[in-house]
Amino acid sequence: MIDFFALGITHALLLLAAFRLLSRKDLDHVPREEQAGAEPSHIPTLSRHAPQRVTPRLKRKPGTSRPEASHDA
Amino acid sequence: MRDLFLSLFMLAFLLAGLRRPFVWVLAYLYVDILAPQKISYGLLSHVPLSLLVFFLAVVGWVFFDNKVGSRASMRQGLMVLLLVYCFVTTQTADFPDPAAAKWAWVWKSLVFAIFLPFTLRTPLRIEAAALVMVLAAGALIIEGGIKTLAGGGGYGELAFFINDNTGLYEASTLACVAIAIIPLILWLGKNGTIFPPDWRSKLFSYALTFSALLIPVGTEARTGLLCAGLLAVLMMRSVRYRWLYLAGLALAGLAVQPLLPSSFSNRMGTIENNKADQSASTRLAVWKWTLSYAGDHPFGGGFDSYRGNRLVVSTKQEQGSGASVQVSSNKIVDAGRAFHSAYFEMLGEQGWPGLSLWLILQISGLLQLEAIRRRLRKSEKPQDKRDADLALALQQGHLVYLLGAAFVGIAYQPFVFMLIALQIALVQQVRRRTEMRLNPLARRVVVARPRAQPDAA
Repeated sequence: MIDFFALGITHALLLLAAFRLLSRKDLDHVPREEQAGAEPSHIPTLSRHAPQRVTPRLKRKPGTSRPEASHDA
Repeated sequence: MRDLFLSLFMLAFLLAGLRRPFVWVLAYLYVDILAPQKISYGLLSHVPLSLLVFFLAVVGWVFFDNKVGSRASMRQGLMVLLLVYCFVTTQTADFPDPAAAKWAWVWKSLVFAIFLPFTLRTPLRIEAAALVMVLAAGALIIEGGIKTLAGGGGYGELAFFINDNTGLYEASTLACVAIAIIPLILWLGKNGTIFPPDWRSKLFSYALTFSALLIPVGTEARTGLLCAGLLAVLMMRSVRYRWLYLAGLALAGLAVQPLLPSSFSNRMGTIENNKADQSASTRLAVWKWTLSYAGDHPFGGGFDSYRGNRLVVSTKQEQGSGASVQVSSNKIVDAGRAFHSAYFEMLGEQGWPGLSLWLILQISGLLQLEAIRRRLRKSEKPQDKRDADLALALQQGHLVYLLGAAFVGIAYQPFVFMLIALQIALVQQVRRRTEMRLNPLARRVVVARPRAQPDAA
């Protein structure tokens, strides 16, 4: 009786878990907000070791110009 | 009936893997921990279940899983080195046949632990793996806990599903592992998404924790009591109100003391007074032998090298009190006594290089988890808080294991290597997400992606 109860409850939960996992999209793909390259989570800044963001100036190809701002007619 | 139930369960689990191949990885964890093919006397016992789910898990990952961003870790490298080293020592073992028999399961344990982190690519997968491990071990823990409450415990007498002395079915091993996974049980109850943290999952997690605490009582494993004591101290890092927690512990200890069986109290008393206890004296003698053996065999004697030991153990027993104390000494000759310690097991079997590799593997995990916990604990993001709590839970469990491993020969225990794989996966995931580097002097440079230019009209 005890054996059956222990096996029964744990295996029922295992099956339920497996069933729930089948419908979870985040089982195989990390959610967009957590992907590498997205805004990282807040990391406490340390004086010397804070990650620094560097945005270099982009070189434009010759002959191209900045798109003009649209004006209302 | 039990056979039919387990067979249908396995069939349903494997069919679920056809839709999500990762479920086959979970199936392997379940089969390796609980060994349903041993519990069943019918159909399942005739199927090479372990080989089948291992094959499916690997095939599912190779052909159907996204491997972008997968990276091997230093600890996986250590396990590869350990695997190769164990293979070499097996070829030159003092006792070739027993060494080959032990190698037959050790290599599988190591190979799967090396493979598992590659499959645990998302937070949900880590949670799912942890949940399956807890529930599979939970079957044994719940059974042992209820039987203990019903008065069925005793040293070597607490019966589980099968009369087997391997893996988690060995009493001292289960006592150590049951206590070690308590932080993970509580983490799942508080942070789970498969079973969200409502009153049912919290109630189940508390009940399972209580059952786990009963296992050392039911098995009368001294290791279990020591592990529980350490966990009680480590939990002070997790609780919010420490004084309240200490007061609660003290009250619980006082309340439980009269309810414990006298055989349990007597056995725990030998922790302090081990001179009269033969098993404790023999253990010390084996450890002394192992140190001396390692002096002559610095590269180890292969698996089961303890079979070469021959010990003379002296025990002393005092009877009477006051002026009329009678001291009786006994000398016992014993041979082929097992190491009864993972540390001495590694030393005797794999020598100083093997022990060093194993210790680096264990300690590096503790340090990595601590680094993650410190980095994430002040973060406001929910996922970071979850991961910080998980890192702490895994670290606490690992420390408990390292204490228990001092008294039980569980250096290659598959469950523990699965926990190591969880740790590796968590560390890698957090690093990927926060782009944290081991070298604190490294700078992270983000280059803005050039905006797409419109076509010229």
